[in-house]
Amino acid sequence: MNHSPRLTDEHDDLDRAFAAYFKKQVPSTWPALHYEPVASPSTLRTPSTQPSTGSMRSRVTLAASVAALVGLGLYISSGHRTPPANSSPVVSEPGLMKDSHADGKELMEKLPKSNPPTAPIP
Amino acid sequence: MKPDRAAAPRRDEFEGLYQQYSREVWSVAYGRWMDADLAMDITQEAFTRLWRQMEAGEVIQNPRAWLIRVTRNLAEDNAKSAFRRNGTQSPELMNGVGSKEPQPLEKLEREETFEQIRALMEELPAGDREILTLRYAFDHDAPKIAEILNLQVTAVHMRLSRARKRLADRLTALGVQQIP
Repeated sequence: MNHSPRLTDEHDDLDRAFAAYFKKQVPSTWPALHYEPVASPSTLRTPSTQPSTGSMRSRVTLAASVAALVGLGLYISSGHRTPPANSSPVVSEPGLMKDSHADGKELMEKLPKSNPPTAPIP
Repeated sequence: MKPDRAAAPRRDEFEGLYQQYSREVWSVAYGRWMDADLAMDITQEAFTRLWRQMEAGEVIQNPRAWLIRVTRNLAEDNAKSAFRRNGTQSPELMNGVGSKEPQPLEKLEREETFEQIRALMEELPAGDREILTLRYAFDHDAPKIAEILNLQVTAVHMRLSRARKRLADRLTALGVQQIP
């Protein structure tokens, strides 16, 4: 006669065996979650349409920098020179224009013909 | 510099979900593969995908159901890729083979019984293994298991009873009279 096995009669024993088996499979220390709290640029898509404070500040700084560069470029390319504040006008001598290659007639006509070179006072 | 206030609650929420559901997710993955380390990898992957979804601004109404579904899909995908790598040999056959530590006789007998349980577990449907894992690894009762797996409580009772009887009969047939 076949002896009735203990496992089928005693549920407690079976449960204990299963519990021992399954609990052995469970990690003894449950690992922490490994993920990236700060999203990479490719995955970060903020649902909000309002830019953040930091983003706005960066944009303003960038715009100011670009504006300053453009203004500086225009200033340099225009060739504008401001005369020194207390400098007296330079009276050019006619000899300075002798070798000039400028062909602007209007400009030449505006030259001070009425002011001939004065003779040195003896 | 001011901290990013918008991201902080979501991180807390996400880590809370991990604390709440990671063991259930692990149980489902383990029930599919019978490999604790692989189950943990799948668990981590499932939660990583959940994080990406939350980052993308998607509202997930039932995170537990979402995680269980994704975990089953990941386990299924892993089964396909593992078949490509290993052919018909399942990786879990090699579990525990590499232990170099000398073991006393009683422990060896116990390990042998555990290996028999593992082998018999593989004959059960994956759904039954999920139930057994939740029941015996984490001591969840039938109503809780039904809630986790979205099943009827009576169905859980029935499948649990059937799986236990089947395992007990098979262990007896293998000559296991009692657990060392």
